[in-house]
Amino acid sequence: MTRPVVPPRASPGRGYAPRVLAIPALLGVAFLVLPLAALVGRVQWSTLWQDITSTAALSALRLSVLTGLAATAICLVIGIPLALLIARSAPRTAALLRAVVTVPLVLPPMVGGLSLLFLFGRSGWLGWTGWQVPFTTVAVVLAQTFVALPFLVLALEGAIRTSGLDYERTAAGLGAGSWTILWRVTLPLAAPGLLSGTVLCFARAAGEFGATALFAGNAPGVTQTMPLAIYTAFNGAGVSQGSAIALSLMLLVTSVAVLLLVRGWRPGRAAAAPEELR
Amino acid sequence: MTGALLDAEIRVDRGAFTLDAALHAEPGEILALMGPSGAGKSTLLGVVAGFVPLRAGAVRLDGETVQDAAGIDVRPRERGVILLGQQPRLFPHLTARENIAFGPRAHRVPKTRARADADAWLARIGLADLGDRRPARLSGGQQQRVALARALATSPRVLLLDEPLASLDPATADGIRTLLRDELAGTTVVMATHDAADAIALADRLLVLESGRITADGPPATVLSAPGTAFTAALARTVPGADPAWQARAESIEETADGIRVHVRTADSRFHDLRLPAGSPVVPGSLISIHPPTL
Repeated sequence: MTRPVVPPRASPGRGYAPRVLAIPALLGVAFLVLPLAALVGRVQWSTLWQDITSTAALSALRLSVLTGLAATAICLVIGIPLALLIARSAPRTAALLRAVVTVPLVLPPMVGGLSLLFLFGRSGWLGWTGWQVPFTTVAVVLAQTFVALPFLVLALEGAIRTSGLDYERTAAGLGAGSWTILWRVTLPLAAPGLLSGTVLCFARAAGEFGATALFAGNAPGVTQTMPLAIYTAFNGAGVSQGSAIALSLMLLVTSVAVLLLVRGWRPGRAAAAPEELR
Repeated sequence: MTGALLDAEIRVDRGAFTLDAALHAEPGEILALMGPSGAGKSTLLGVVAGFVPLRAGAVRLDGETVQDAAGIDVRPRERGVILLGQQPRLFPHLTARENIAFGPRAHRVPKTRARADADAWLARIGLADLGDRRPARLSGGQQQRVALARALATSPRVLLLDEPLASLDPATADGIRTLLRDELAGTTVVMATHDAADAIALADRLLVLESGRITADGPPATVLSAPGTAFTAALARTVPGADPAWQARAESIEETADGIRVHVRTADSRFHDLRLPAGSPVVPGSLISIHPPTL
């Protein structure tokens, strides 16, 4: 017996993926959202304001934002040239450089922190300079830069490679020099990648824990960023679990706010689609 | 706007393919370059633009060598040669006005003057109202007009056009053809095209490039009326004919071992098969002038 062939049905614009796949997809969404909901459910609203405005919380927040911004700035200064270099290298060189850049991404952050300690520590390779880096705020920034750089470089490099050489050639033919091409053509064309890379980079830097803990320590006001403060609070040393939850909520709200901000601002795409193309 | 004297001997090797051609254009002269696909037209233009290295020979503008095989390679910025291809390649993040002003701005023309000049160009190309639009909100023909204005706004010493009308529908292409006829005067131009009508309408001279060599060179009408190669002969038949009684429309095309077989229908609804060399510029729907010996 042959069953009649039912042609696959698809609503216009939705494609032909089997509908039953919606079940694991929704499970995935639930898995990502439910833990955060559980966190919000444990917030002690009566003491929330007090927990957030405590000296330890505020100084951790300030330190996190400042070091996160500093690390992001460093990542931009060295990451943009690195992304350009990779995007314009021969395929083999590019693959090698990309692998090097990806290492901090797959490396446990603890190992990163330990490695930084062996480079910058008193008995490390750079110990002879007498430059006291470990367990200072500078160490926090370095640890964050180490783990966050791949996010910026890989996002930007992909965007530059995708936009290709044709527009740069056109600009060169019109008489633009290499700096003009970089500022007015290459980077604006890669702006979406640059933007999302920068946001991911900042988010990763602000959330950095493992490398910071090993390389910079946990000194309140100097190296105790939000994640370290949350860990300390959760372990009950000094402050309560309530403040750990309050601090986590703050980090959560901050990251969602950053995401919404980025969604609302899309350079170049702003006025593109509305009436004409619909 | 003054074009340069272009003088080039070009030899490029790409695997088994060798391009070996000399190119000479007086200041302000318009050359049409025709040839089957793969003959080396785009490579030739790429050499003059500076994107393809030479194996031997040199490219000279007004007697000054801008590129040779020994390593002289004047950067595009100083060379003043602009290549405009099938794709307009307008910068998607800039408005039409900013696109046209890009070249002058790169040459340090003050912002207000560059923008005023760009507005004048927008008026000349018939898009005075669309200066604030980004390319995504312009039609293909409008984009190609802006790209042409952007190229001409820098007063190029040589303008290279690589099939600029090929991706446009016939009516739009006609509009741009008229624009080219009006605006190219005084500019030295080399234009690769598949359409013999372009050569007749726009060019002072027609060069035919086959398998990397120039096989014909002269005024378009002369080259097409006295074809020296099978390709040129096939080309001549695609010119809107002087003898309408013998015009036929190509209905279908098949590839054969030694070329193509075109099934045509004449005005009196009779069918014939024509054998033409591979790469003949015929597509289904083309009007072909056929002569008795072909039948």
